[in-house]
Amino acid sequence: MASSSSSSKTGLKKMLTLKSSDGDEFELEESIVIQCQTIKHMVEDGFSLIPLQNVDTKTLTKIIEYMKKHAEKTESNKEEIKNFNKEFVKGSFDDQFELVSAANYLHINGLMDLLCQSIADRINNKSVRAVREIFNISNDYTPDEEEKVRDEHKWAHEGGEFDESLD
Amino acid sequence: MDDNLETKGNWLPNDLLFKVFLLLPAETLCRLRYVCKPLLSMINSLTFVEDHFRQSETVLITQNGKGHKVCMPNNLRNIKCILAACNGLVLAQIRENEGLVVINPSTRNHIRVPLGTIGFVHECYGFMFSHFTGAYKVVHLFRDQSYCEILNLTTRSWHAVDGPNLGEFGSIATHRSVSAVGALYWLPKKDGCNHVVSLGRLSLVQEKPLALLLYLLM
Repeated sequence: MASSSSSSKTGLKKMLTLKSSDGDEFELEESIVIQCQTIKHMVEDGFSLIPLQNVDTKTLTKIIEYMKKHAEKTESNKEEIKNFNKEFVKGSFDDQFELVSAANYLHINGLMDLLCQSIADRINNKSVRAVREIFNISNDYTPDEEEKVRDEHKWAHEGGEFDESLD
Repeated sequence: MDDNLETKGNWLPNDLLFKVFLLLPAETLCRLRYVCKPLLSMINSLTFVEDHFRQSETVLITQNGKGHKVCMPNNLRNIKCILAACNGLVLAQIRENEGLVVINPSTRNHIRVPLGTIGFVHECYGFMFSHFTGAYKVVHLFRDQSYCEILNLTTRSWHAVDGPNLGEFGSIATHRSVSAVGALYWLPKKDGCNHVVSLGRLSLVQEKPLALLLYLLM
């Protein structure tokens, strides 16, 4: 096994292996993977095979796609990265929740910010009922209590229709 | 934070829900209050309120005209004028001498407080947050007087304290104060003025948070 000393000294690209919870392995350059703080710390501790028990293959594939693209970030391709990000957050809510949980676990700050903002933007105009469905939250208000809270903030419910759709 | 949210099997753990909801505008948060009770207590928690305030942007609020128009609940529609603002809270006067009100324009939460007890014509109000006591204070100043009065927002009562040296103020009738880092500042309306008047900070150093003294900065 290669030593854990810095790859820049030897000129060779140091490779790391990420293993998903489904057991699939992905080999990547260290320079790409260290965007992820959790893995960076493991690399510093000398690991080169990194098991990720909380991240399945589907989610890990997406996250690797993100890290590869963002490793290419320079001054001149800002627009390209922006478009990539826009496409990246187009999945279903369920996919986004998987991704944001994984990004949180892996401490990829840029991806966390991107996903949280995207989820917030998408629920901003949703109806209360739609938000319950999307987050799988059950309503624990009695009809009377709900009426009361709704009355207190009547003004917040003025001004148009809210989106009932779940996508 | 409430644990109930998680046990109901929502897709996101509480800390991530917190992060996502932090990015929503206050109007949306008010509307989403009755999604469920644990979410309401999260939105109302001090940590959430403080974090939300810290990352919110500054907008211009107007009653009519350009800017971010705020639709007020019925019981707040008779506002005469805005007197001062601090940390996003607004101190306003209500028409027909019905007193003052401190409003959070984002949540429409508000508390009514009485007008100053000394009814002078040449008066002005200031509004500040004291980091020392962790409380908001309303200050009522009068021209040609050597004292002012301060309102404690918790007890909603006024009490008189030593006020400005009138020579330093010039006319204050039209003055608006500026609240910054736990003190109030005024620019005296005088020709060739070479000082500002401030209230709050020195008195805190002297550990007399209520006896707020005015002093010259320069």
